[in-house]
Amino acid sequence: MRDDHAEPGQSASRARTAHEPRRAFQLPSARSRLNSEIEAEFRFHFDERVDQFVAQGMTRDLAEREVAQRFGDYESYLQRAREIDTATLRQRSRAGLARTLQRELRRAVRVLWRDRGFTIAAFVTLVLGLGATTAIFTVLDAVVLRALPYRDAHALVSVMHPATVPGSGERTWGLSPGGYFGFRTMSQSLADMAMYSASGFTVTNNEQADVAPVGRVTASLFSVLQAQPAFGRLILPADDRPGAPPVAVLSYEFFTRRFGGDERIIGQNLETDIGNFEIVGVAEPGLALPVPGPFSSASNLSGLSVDVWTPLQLDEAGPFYNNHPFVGVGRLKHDVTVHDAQQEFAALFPRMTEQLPDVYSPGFLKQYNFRVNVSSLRDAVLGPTVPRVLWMLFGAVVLVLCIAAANVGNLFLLRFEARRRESAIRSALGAHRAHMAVHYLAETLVLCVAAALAGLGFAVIALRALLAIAPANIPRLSEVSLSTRSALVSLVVAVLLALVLGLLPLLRRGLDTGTLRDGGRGLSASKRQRAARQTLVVAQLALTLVLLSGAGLMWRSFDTLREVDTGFDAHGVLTFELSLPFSRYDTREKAAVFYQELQQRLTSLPGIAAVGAGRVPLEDFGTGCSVVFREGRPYDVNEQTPCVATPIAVPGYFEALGIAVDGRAPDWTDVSARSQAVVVTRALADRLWPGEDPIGRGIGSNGSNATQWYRVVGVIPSLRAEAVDVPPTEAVFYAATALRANLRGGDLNDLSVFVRTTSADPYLHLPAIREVLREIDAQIPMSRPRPLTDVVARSMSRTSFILTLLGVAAAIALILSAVGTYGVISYLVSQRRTEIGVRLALGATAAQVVRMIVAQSAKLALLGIVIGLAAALAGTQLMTSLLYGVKASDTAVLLSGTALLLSVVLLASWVPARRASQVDPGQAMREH
Amino acid sequence: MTRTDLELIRGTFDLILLKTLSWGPMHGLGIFRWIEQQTHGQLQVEEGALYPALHRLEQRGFLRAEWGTTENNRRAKYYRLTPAGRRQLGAEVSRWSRYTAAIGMILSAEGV
Repeated sequence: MRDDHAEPGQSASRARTAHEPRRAFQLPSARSRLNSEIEAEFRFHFDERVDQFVAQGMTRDLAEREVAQRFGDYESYLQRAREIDTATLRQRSRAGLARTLQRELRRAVRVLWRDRGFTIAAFVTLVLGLGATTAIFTVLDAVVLRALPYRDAHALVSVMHPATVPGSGERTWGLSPGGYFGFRTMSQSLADMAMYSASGFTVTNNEQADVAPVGRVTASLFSVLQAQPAFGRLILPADDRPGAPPVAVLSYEFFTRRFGGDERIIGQNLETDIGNFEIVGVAEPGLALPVPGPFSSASNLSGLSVDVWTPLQLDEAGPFYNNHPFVGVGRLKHDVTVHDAQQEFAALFPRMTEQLPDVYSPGFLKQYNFRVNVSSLRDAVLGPTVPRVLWMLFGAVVLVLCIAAANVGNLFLLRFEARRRESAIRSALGAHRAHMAVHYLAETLVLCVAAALAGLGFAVIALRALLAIAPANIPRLSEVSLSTRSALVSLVVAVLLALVLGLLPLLRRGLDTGTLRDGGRGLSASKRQRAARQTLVVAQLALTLVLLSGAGLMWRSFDTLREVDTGFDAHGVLTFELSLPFSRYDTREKAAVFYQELQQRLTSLPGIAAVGAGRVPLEDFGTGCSVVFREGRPYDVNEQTPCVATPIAVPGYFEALGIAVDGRAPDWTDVSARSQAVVVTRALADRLWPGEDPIGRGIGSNGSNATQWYRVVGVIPSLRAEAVDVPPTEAVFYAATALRANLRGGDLNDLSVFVRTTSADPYLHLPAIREVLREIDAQIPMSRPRPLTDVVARSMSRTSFILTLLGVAAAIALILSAVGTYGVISYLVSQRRTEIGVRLALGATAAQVVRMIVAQSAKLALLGIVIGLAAALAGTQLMTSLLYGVKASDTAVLLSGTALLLSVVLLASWVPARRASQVDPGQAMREH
Repeated sequence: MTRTDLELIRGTFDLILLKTLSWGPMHGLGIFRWIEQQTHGQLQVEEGALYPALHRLEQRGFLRAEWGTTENNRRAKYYRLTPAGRRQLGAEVSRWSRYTAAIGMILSAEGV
């Protein structure tokens, strides 16, 4: 206790003695003592003054009055002095606490630095565990936990129609205009309801052509989303009536990007290839369309953002059709739950369909099991798989963190053991347990917080790597970056971990006299600790096996997926999207002429084998279907009506994709002659005409009694066009102009072009292709050029993403387990040095010693494996829906995981065993 | 105000207290008497005002307080200057000199 640190008002008699430990906190009585001391000080002044005046001859009474007058307002000065001292006290105790903290932390850093080996092992372990957890938590938080970016987003619901499509299974359809008007009029549970679809057009203002994603929406969407304009106004109900003048609202981003943020654009025309729109306003920044899962790949939207908002202008009077292209959203009234709304819509559903008998026939309702579903918009956007995958991965990294913590806990126990003599002496000498706890806590705190900070750096790098390999269809993933929130969570976890680790040694009670008596050999009382350590090792081996099994299953799935024959050959194919302006390509004939010229010019280039256009397999299929009928053979009542994809295949499509056509594919002669030739997939042909030759058969979508039929001229082998892990697609491919007449033009204006090249890297041909395109029509924007192999890889990205993450988690777990086993076995060996020395002296061979020790660790490993296998069998069941071509309980996977773990554990224990067998018997025995 | 006492200029009290204590440790009353003696009682200040000022200087680390006993064997709180207080005194004195010099220049200025 240095003298110059005396506290204010510390009475001399209470001055602290040198051996008393320094206090970080003032005693609770400090405040009352402070009061009495100020009063004593004042009183002294007062009394002395009075005595002085009395000595000068005043009466005591008069003297007191005189002094009181000269002194001023006694109470007020007392109060002011008291306030100052209270503040001083607070300041000093804070400074004292800071000093204590600083001293403890400095000491902790010194101690940790002295034990560098231990510190580095514990630090690296914790960085891996904390960093991985932070990275995955960040993704989970951004994608799953956070609310959608709308005001009061929790009250938003999606309204969709689930249907069991014969031949294709469960599908989610959007709303039909008829259904929308029906529900919107009748519903009491929703404050309002809206719907929209995503499309696109080419904006041509200032002689510059840009493809703009467009949200075609009902005016009510903005009130449902509670969106605000940044400038001007949003779309009003009056704009949304059929025949109203066309208006457009720009997204804030498009407004700044394309028009330089110039407000004068409001009131001007937005010139597009489908006509002019009056720009009436700009939406608030960041406003995006919420896109429920099944529609996210259907739209041409890059993510969720659109550049332009236009009114749908649907006619409430109909006519209505059985088509469901619109995403329905609603806002719940106050105090109404999603469940209530679902109940109401289910009850309204029969009334809605009865009002539209021409649209929803009883046969259709029954055959398609057509129904309505209201669910929280967030759940609908996320879909069921993504949250499950992310929670699973989060579970995996939490397991890794547990393993890391167990390892570090083990290291701390070992270290505590080594310091037991020191601590036993200190506590025997009267050191407080609390004091020792502060020491340990300071050490674990420094270690854990440093690891958490380094872990944040690790997480930033890991996140960058994660985003690079993540599947494109995880919503909101692009928004992921390390947030304050996840950094905070990471620090909180680190501090909790530090508390647990720091208090671990305190579990011991009372004076450790045993240690003192043993002369510090630490032989007694270590049985319980040894058991604790071995339990930790067994637990981490079990957890590692769970992760290894999960990673193994994903690897098998990925491997199986890669072997799947998609039915097309993506190698050497370049694909890109074109958007032909409606102003000049307003008929299919004009568009067809363009594609024919493009094909001729491109195929004359060296290195280009074939060119075609149509939909992109694995991306554009499986998002909608049309019912097809066959000529001359109506479906039985019990037979399910097929609803299949009906894509366009511009001549050259099959050739460019490397799909062999049995029969023939329609060519340019079919196009110009408007022939009715179509190509069907083998899967559809087998269903419609089982065991027969489909060539020449009639097929159509105008009912069984149609007078005109398309003719099947070719059949293609099974084609996996929806997804690699979905059974072969049923589809009818129409030639360019042979389309149903009731569709508006436009089907040919936005297509993907496929260019089959003879090079391994099709990108090499991109400049030449651009040049040709410019020569034909410089006004046509080309977008998203990419090799078709990328499309295939992306369709498997969910599996590869999970595989990579689980694989990394399992690898980290395996390393940590090896380190943990190594640590414990090394310790056990060091405990048994004397015994081993005796054995060697008595003639045991080195090999026998090694075997003995490895056998001991094998016992631990086997126990861990048994528990781990049970846990893996239970845990991998959760993954069933993510697997392809492998069962969750796959024996080969479990066995290879077990074998890998066992060999790593044995190797990790062989090293210390080997060292033990080389001890010098004489020296080992002399040590004790 | 009929008395000829000088009212304290704001900010000078600290200077006076630090200077007084530079002669050695004193208790509050001692400080007061010293000032009274040096100024022949010309400074008009309430005696109680001494204490908040002393305590604030203590809070700022310029003074240290300790209990001790007077010649009459009574317990009193003694204040003494800390090294920081000594430094502060130097700074305040030079500031005060510059201030009075500046004021003096203005008062003694002759019209141009």
